[in-house]
Amino acid sequence: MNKLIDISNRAVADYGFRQAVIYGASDIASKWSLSDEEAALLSGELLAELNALPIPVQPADILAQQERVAGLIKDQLSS
Amino acid sequence: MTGRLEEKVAIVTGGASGIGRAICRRFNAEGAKVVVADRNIAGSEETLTLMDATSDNAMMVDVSVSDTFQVERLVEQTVTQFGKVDILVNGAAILIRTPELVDVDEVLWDLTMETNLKGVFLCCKYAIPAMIVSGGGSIVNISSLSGLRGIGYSVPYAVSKAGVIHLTAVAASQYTSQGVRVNCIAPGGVDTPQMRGSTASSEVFSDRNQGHPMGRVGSADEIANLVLWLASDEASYVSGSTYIIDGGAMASAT
Repeated sequence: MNKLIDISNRAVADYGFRQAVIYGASDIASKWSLSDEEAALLSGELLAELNALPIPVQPADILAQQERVAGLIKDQLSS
Repeated sequence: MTGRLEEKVAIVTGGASGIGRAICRRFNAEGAKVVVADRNIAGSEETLTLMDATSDNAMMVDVSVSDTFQVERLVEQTVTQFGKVDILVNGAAILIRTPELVDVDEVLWDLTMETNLKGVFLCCKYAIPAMIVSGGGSIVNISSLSGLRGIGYSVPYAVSKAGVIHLTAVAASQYTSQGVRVNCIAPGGVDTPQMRGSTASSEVFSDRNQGHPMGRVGSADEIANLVLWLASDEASYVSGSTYIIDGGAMASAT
């Protein structure tokens, strides 16, 4: 779960990394050695969340967005 | 003037947005048959809608430029659909912000190099033989001012773009004699979704405009104008060169 949160935190803060995730989720999952469950979440609901973020996320909003998305990940992986 | 690329077949990687999209549109307007090559399928579809596109003069291909089989297939599909490859524009790239070198994660280095440098290598590797078969061609690689200067907010991006400049020189030295011209452009700041997203905030973007000698960053259409010239027969004596296009930013840098 921590690796996936690390990915989402980076993707919230950096649009370039976000694009790498959105258009290469399978590559990212492989490079971060995500579990099947984490990879499925990344290429499904998490991708939709990342796609919906503003471009860029303003600096003042980054932490709140990171916490919101991390919360979604925790909810999904603990359910 | 139109028709400068009449009867030409062009592959444009990174054609789904920004500079790549502007190049696709410009090539289409000049009569080329255009292959929009990108992983961003929705963006590629949008590019096609912004062009005067028909099945006879345009198509899109979902491709990861760092995947050798997908790149080989891209060239094969282009030849199958349009009969040849005359022009390759290597525009696909990612820009991931990093801290200073000693703190850069290896995985971000690898990700960037795979797309930005290996991707250009693979596209050249498979397009050049097809160009030679049809009598020659023109390759335009998109580098960056970051590839020429020891500054930047991404270590792997800057180094990958420097690699693109050198790959251009090496490829030109090997294939110009066979009719394939290979050139490179190094844009400064350009108003694209990538740049707006990679600057930390709207305020930073505004500051960047104000600090520029022209009072603004470039537009994707302005970059496409230079790429068009290099791709066309008007640049028939040009190979192995890198063109800075930055509105005077580098010349004015202290």
